[in-house]
Amino acid sequence: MGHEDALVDLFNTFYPSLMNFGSKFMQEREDTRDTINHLFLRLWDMRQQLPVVENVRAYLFTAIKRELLARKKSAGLEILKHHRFYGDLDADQPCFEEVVIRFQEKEEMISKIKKAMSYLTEREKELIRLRFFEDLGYDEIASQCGISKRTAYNIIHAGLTTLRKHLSCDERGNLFLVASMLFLLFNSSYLIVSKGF
Amino acid sequence: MNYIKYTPEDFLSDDSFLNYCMHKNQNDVHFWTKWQEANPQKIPDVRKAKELYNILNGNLDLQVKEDQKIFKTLFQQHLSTNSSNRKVKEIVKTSSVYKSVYILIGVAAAIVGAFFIFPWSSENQGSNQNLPTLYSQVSQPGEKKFFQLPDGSQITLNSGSSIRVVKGFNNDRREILLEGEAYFEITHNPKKPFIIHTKMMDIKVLGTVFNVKAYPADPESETSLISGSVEITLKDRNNKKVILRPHEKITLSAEMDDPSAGNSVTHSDAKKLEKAPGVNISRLDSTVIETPWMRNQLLFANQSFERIAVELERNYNVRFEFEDNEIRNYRYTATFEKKTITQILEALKLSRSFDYKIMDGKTIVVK
Repeated sequence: MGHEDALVDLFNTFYPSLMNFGSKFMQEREDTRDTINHLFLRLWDMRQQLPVVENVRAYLFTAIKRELLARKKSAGLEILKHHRFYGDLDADQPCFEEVVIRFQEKEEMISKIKKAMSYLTEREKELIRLRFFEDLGYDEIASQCGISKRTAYNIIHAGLTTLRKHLSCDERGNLFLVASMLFLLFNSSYLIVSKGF
Repeated sequence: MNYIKYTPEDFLSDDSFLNYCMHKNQNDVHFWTKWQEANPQKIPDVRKAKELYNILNGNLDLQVKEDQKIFKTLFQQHLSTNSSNRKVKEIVKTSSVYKSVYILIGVAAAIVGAFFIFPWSSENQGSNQNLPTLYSQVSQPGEKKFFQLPDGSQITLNSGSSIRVVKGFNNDRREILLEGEAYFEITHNPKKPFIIHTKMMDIKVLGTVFNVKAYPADPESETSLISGSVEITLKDRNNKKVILRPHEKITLSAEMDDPSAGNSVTHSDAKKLEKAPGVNISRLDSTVIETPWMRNQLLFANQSFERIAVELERNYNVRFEFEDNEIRNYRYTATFEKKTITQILEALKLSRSFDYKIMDGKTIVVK
């Protein structure tokens, strides 16, 4: 049955973006992974009853958000709650300070990324996040930001060049740290795409 | 497309290149692997692009490939358990003739399982036994023990069980050896996997709640997952890996439950079933408590007196002697909560009669 491969393809296509989306709600990627696995198996079981969906991505994001929140509730997890004190409108945003503690050992690297990011314009930062962290295609970015595909492409390209100039990627040992740091930056300082749907 | 002139930024602007980085599309993965082989001078630029991509996606790629494999395994398991469940129901429904065939099949599977397990398990057990021990915890028959490990994980040992903590615990991994039954609440720490070695399986967890039953004397060994996820390596089956989801239980059988039930299985029957000897993954029934021993309950579901006796020996620190082989195979279904051994024996007696005598408070002779 070819349908079975189709589910695996669907999983592989949307897994990175669902993972990063999920980390806004869950502290541990492990928890997000389990929830995503569970969701896809359930979709398979219900495949006869599923509605015809126009925007698969939006459908999956809504579904996974619901599952993650339900899971948190049932597990009695309250980890990411107290950021309400920071006046965040979106109550699902994780607390930046809480997570960053883990990466404190090498502060010079953290500041390096902060610095590299500071050379980006807000527009570049936003589009790079959408493209690489949220894993959106150029078409989607263009329509979401109300610009042409070509413009989106150019902005991202310029941003990448700036980043690479200031990040000197050759220090490979520190890459993990850099990654985690950027991950946190994106995670904490932006509203998520879900506002779009 | 002239990829030769591409800068790292150009690579990162290419959809098919990103598909390759995230293993999203097999064609793209294939194309870029081949392309790099053909154009080795571009490998440094490709590497730079990949590194920047990793930074920008939160270091996902280290995980994605592994996770995709896990999902594929999980999905295949899901498909096969669903279809086999359906088959089982059909067979049971149709007629009692098929029912007995099904039982025979089960027995045959167990026999094959036994052949496979014994040579392997002794070997593997040897290698596990060699792991240096930091310290051990032992519960005597009739005793349950609760304790905490240095990482904060909590373990409840059922009667007559032991745990050995392997040297270097909590350095970069957490390893223990288990003989018997225990209920685990493992502290979450993805960086230091928690591995439980038993005779028939290794259980790898990252943080989760579950029960493992692996008494060396028992013909079966099982793991029930309450929450989280665990990966089980079946040592006797070429280290095949199985992933359990919450509310699932895996049972491995080493030999037949009831030797008198079906010795007439021919060799060819057994051969057909080599595929899945004695491994069973089942959904936990929410109405049945999986860990009755945690509540001081003893639960027997259509089990032979012989098997029941083994449980009672563990829980009450007694020894059974059967003087009548027929009584040994009596079957009982019962639940006991906080009863004395005499109360239990009296209750069993009411259901199907036998005589017993308790000698010097320890040995129970059944006749």
